[in-house]
Amino acid sequence: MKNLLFIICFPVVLIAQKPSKTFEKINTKWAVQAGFCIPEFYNLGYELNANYYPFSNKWVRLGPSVQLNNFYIVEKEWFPSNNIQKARSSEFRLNALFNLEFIPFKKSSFYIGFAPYIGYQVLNNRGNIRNAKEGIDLDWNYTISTFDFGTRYKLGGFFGKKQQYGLEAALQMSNRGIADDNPLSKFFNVGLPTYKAYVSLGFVYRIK
Amino acid sequence: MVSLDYKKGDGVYARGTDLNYPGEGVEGTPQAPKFFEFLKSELLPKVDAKYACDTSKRILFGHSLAGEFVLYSMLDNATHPLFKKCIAASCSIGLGIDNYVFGLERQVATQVSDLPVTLYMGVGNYVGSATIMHQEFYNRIKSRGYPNLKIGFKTYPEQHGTDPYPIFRDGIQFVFSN
Repeated sequence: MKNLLFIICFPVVLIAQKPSKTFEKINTKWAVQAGFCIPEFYNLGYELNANYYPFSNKWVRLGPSVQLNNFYIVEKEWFPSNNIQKARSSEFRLNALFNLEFIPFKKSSFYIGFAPYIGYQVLNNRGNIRNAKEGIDLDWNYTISTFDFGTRYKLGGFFGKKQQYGLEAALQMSNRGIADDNPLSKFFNVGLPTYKAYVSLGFVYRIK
Repeated sequence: MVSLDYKKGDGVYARGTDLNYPGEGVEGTPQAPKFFEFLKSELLPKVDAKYACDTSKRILFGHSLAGEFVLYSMLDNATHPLFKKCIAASCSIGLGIDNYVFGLERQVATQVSDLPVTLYMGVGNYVGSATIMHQEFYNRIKSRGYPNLKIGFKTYPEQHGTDPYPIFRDGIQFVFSN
């Protein structure tokens, strides 16, 4: 029983013994992030963020950030077909976010955050479909450009002696559906290329 | 408005059976001609008996696999169209084994000199070949020069889940316009 108590208590004691300077160390001003994104069911992507926090104290950080997203389609044959199809889809998004990050624990750099964003999206989709039997040989090349807005929900924390490196997991989604006149569009609208929703896991580097 | 749906859990299997024509085979066992016969000989007589319907203004509207069903049933009954106003939304063109809808369209063109139907087609401008395949079908059937075929086509900045609404809205306006 004593051993068991020791096993349970030891990590707690270790956490409690973390340096009390934690808050000075995580008083972040500038940070950059790179993350891998898993959006809706048919594409993949990555994100780059640059964050600036003009206001921060023990419990909260506030500030804007700039985000660049790239998403691409992973080719997949959804239905068996005699068509020969080659397609490529690439999407870029440039977003401006405003971060609100809360640091709930006194002795830990763990944070939870929320960030509304506005942005611009350019989606290019091109390809070719052929079916000799039906005399089909068609090329397509579409570009969709739209404004977008939405929200990002995140949690993360810093680690290392200088608390300079961190990890952040986030869920980001377009919320444009609430502003259009289509009753089928919703606040959360998975599947639409212009209504991006994704989860990301990113690496954070605190510059200052 | 009469809406046909399936009880929860049966939809995926049943729609593959009811809405697929032999030769396409996107999913399930194709029995669409039987389903069309059910509309013609069972459902419509019941609806017409119960309500005061203007049968000349009947519209068949379908989305996705049901949109493909609209095109098939229109072509399959080209000599005596049951529905003279059709709205085909975001059809499954290009998703079947062999794009049978193009073969049927070509076959019909050798059999009839007119297609007295008002057809509105729409598709969400989403990723993939769907838009270009709709455009190709529209171009082909329009090039036949059927004197009484009135046809419209439009793309939408929507996706497969959200495009039924604007297509239906525009389709209704199109099929009842002069």
